[in-house]
Amino acid sequence: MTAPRLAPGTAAPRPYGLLAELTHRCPLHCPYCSNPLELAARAEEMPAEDWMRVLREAAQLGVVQVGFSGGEPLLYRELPRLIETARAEGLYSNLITSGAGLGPERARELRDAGLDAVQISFQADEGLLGDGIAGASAHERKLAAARDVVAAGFPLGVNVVLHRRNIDRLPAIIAMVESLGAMRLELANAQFYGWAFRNRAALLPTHAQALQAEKTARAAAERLSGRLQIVYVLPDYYERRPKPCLHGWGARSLTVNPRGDVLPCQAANSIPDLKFDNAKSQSLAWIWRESPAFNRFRGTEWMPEPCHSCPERERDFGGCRCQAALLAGDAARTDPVCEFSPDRPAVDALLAGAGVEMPAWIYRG
Amino acid sequence: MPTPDSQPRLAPHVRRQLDRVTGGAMLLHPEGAVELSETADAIVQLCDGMRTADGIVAALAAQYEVEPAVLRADVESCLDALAARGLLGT
Repeated sequence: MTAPRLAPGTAAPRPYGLLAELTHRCPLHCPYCSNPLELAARAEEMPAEDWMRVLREAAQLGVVQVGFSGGEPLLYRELPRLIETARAEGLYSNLITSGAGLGPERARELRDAGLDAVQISFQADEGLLGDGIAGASAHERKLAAARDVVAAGFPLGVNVVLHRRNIDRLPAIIAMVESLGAMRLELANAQFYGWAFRNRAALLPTHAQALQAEKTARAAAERLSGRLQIVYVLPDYYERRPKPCLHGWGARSLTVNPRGDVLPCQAANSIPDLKFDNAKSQSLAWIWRESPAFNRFRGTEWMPEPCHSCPERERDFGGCRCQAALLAGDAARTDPVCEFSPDRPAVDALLAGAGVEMPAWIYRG
Repeated sequence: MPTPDSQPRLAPHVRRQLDRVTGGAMLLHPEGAVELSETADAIVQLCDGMRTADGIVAALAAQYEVEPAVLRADVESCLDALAARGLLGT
């Protein structure tokens, strides 16, 4: 007899997860938003009929999890129909929301449609700082939404993006999340793409801050074990080896953006020389298996040195393609975070400025 | 971790279903999927909130016509693995 295994990667790649970015519209304006700099307008958003077909095709490909995200997915009017489709196809569905617009009735409506879980983002432990980060009056509404979600019987996850202006508040953030009855808390240091890259000088924590936060998160995870699962995502600029981004390009998951472009990850559109296919004109199966963009960085053959002969290549997959494009000017280079990358000085130059200057940040549109 | 007296069942947010690709059983939860071996799935299906670990061992022994002692360590490690991932409720 074997103990249950975590879903393994297999030789023939099969996606397990779909991130469905229904809209880029959002009442919040966080300066580290993971949406691209060029936000899709409402008129460009993919109609619900196309989304329903995407969900059915995803389930046929092997996807078992769907995250309805955005922007704010609650602003997509036909969300309940999409949830019903996901449930009918056997997909486990997660709503990834700011919490704005999620009252008790809405929570029950989504539950009745078949939604499985809800994740709410918080910006801080209290309203003054939180609303300042979000660029909107949101904190109190998030607290109310979290209570409504738990009352409706959903498992609640909380996500907090950490950066220079809130990372020292971590003990209070954890205490707040404890009081909400959440099952899981994801503490993710800002990842520097898109809006966050534009605001990197204001967002990047000092090394001392990052180390202290890691210590705090680890102690809390131990103390709350069995009650609240805490996941801490390091700021990768301070790492010596790159993150195993996506567990490999086109290996386990895919993202569909509001326009219907099918991407290996949320940020992949930022890679200048790749053309991504669209779910309105191609089947998801073709895009996943055959499209040039999804095959461009699969496996290890595409790798340059120092990755190509590196014993870590099957573990970190050469790191993040978007980060290579952004910092080294070429998505096919080794992730510059890696200590063996010839481009590592580009990361060190950014770190040298951490905490030195504190420019005002640019809110997303 | 489950104690000898606990009566495990799947946590309310966990859904068991058969996988379209492999035909095998899977547990779905907010952060991922756990693929179950045939025997792990048999154990999961006996986690009904009434049986104890001993009860699960006895039921499994009857089902597969083997000595309970042979199964005990496997059942315990399977329950521990499920509990460690937050998949069991009480």
